[in-house]
Amino acid sequence: MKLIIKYAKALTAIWFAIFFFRTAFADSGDYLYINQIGTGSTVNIEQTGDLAYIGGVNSDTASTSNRANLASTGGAQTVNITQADNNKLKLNYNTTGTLNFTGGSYTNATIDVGGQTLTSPSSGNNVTYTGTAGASGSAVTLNANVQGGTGNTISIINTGATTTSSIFNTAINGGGNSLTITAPGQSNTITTIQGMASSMVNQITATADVVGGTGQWVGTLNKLPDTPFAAAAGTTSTSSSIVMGLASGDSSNTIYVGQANTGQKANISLGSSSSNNGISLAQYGTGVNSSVISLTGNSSLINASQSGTGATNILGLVFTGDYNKIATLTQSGTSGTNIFGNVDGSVANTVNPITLAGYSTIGSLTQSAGSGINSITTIGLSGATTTVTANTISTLSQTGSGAGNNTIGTLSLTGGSNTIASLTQSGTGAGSNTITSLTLGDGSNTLTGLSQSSTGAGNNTITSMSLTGGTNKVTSISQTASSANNTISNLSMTGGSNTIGSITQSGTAANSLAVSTSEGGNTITSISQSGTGTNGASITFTGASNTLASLAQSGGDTNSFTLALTGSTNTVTATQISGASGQSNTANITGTGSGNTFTFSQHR
Amino acid sequence: MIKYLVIVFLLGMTWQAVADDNRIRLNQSGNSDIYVITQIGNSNTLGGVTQTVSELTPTAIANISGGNNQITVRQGDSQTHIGNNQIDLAVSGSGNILNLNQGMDQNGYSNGLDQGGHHQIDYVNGMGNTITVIQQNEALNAGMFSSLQVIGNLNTVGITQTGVAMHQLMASVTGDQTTLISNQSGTSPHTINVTSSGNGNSAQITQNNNGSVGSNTASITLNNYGAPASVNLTQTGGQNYSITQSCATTCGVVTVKQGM
Repeated sequence: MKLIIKYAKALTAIWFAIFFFRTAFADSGDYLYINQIGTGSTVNIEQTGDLAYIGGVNSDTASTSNRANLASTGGAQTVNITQADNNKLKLNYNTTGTLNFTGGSYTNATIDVGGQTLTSPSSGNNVTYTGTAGASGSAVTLNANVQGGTGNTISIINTGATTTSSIFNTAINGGGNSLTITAPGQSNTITTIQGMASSMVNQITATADVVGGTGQWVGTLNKLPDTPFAAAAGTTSTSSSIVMGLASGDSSNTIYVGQANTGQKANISLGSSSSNNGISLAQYGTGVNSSVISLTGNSSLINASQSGTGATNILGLVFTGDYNKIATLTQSGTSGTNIFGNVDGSVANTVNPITLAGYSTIGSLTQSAGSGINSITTIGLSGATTTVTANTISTLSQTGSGAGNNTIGTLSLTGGSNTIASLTQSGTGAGSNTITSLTLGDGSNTLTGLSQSSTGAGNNTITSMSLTGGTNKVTSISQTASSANNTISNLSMTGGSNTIGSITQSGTAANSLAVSTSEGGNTITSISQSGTGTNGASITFTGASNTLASLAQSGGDTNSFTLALTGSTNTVTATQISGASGQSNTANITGTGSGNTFTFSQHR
Repeated sequence: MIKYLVIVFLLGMTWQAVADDNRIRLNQSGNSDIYVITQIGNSNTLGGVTQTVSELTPTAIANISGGNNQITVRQGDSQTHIGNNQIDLAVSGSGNILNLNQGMDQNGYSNGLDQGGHHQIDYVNGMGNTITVIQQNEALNAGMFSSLQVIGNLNTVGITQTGVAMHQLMASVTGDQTTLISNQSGTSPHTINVTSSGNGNSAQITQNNNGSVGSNTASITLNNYGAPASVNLTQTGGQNYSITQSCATTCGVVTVKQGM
């Protein structure tokens, strides 16, 4: 059976109203074609049978170019649509008012709000889609587009716990819109695309939220997952905010977030036992990009990028599960501020902003800025005391060319077998390179390479570095400066059997370091200080069988070495070579202990 | 004593006038430690933690306490050969082996062409220590001074001063069965002053001055409190010596050979 309703009336006055009321009860395979233009109307449509279809006038086949049309030139229309399972909906909602759509299982709905073909986008709409899952395995496809409108509120809620493989595609190209998507079940896909209009504010909340849900894909903004970000149309929305979450029990889900222009904000979380999820974050606005990614489950993969000219990038990460992997974390800006781990007040995450709990990996963490500031407030790789953890940061890099500073506040590896393969800070301008606190805690943690380099006026500084617990290993520490100072204020080894391969300081100003042990069995293979300025080294060995295989100071105006040793069978070898006449080498040696070996050489 | 103080003062004055290049301040205690200290430069100093230039207060002297330590100090300038060297060292303990070389050797090598001034004040307190002091240079006015005070029994002391500079040695032994062997050779005046107090100590002293106006002066005092002490003095070149023995029982053998 075929039912056709057609109602059209031209609108010529400011407050022209046409009341239309139509309720249709349709059986399976019913088709409803709508074309209504007016103001103040209310449309209630209910299709209870299967295979029902709502589309454009005189069309037997639903298509994007031939949709049911609800339009207005001045007033609001209220539309309530209810469909049963296995139905299709193609609808242009080109009016103001409220659209409530309730679909069943296997529904394929496309709703355009403020259709692209309109020259005056509609605003102030309230679109609600409520989907109820039918039998297990039911799937829903819903496309909701807001094109150019403002102040719209879209709520998409699929309440069925067993809904699977549903697709929710939304596009918001206006400003001041609000989107909320809740998609429980498994293998669901949520795509939201935001952009087109500049200087707009959109609020998006997308939640694939159900216990036990798996295989969900949640993506938002500007880019489909299989296309390059730059190819996405419309990248100018501003001050957008995203809250996305996967609740406890979810697994194998994917969250994609892409944001452009200024003032982007994202808060992404995965539930307490979520696992095998993927999160991709791309923010490259010119203002403030702020995100927090929280993982409490295991084996998730993260890619995050924040970039933009003059942008301030803020990213906080909290991993509390195991085997999570951050493939890339990149922040770049030519004059902005890049901050890992220091989120603003609107995001309640101020403690341990970047935390890896166990068996987690950061492939590459990079900050680069021109005259801006690179800052990492806190990175913590930690594991439970009862388990062995193996967290890894393959590359951690901060680079700057201007007056901005590169700063790492707290970086800690605690637990077992954590690794930082490469940690680099470099600058060519007046900005300084600073690590305030770096800790390798209990367990066999490894820092393969730590490098600070400055070719400008900025100083290289490690304020505090400690190896606590046993068998931690630092392969190399390098500080290189052209005209600035190199400083290691306090490098302490408080546990036994820690190893430092080499410490190198070179520069024409002042090189200084202080190293201490409080237990035995620690080894420093070599310390080298070279330059035409002042070289100063202070070594305090407490404990037995500590070794400083080689300390070399060369070329300084003043080479000074202080050794305080308490313990037995320690070995210290030091060489001081001064440059021109009038320069001096000084070594102070004090302490107690037996079986120690001291070898000191001084040359001019 | 007045002469001694004057010498120390003059050397101190000379020392202050020299730039301070290499300085090690040392205060360490323990047993079986090994120290290998090498200083090569214009001015090399081994002293105590509070040491300043030419300061000789107790804390200004490098201090090593403990037994069976091996202590090797080598000072000199193998390149320009003009360095001035100073060792102020106190060692307390037994079984220590000290090898203190200025201008290098033995066996710090160098070729014997060092022209620096050498200054050394050592205190050793303990039993069974072996002390070897080597000073050598080839500069006429560089100067060479060694002051050694040994307290304890069964110690062995060897002091060798060679080269064309003036050689000065002040050695004091208090204890039993200590052997002191000193050898001065060169062309400038040689002066040695040895005082030994205890039982069974012996001193074997050789002064070999082959300079045209060279002189040798030896002043040896043996205070024998029990077992006899012995002296074997050989002087070649200048011949001026004084040997005084004070014997509680039988005096030991004194042998003097001159003009060999």
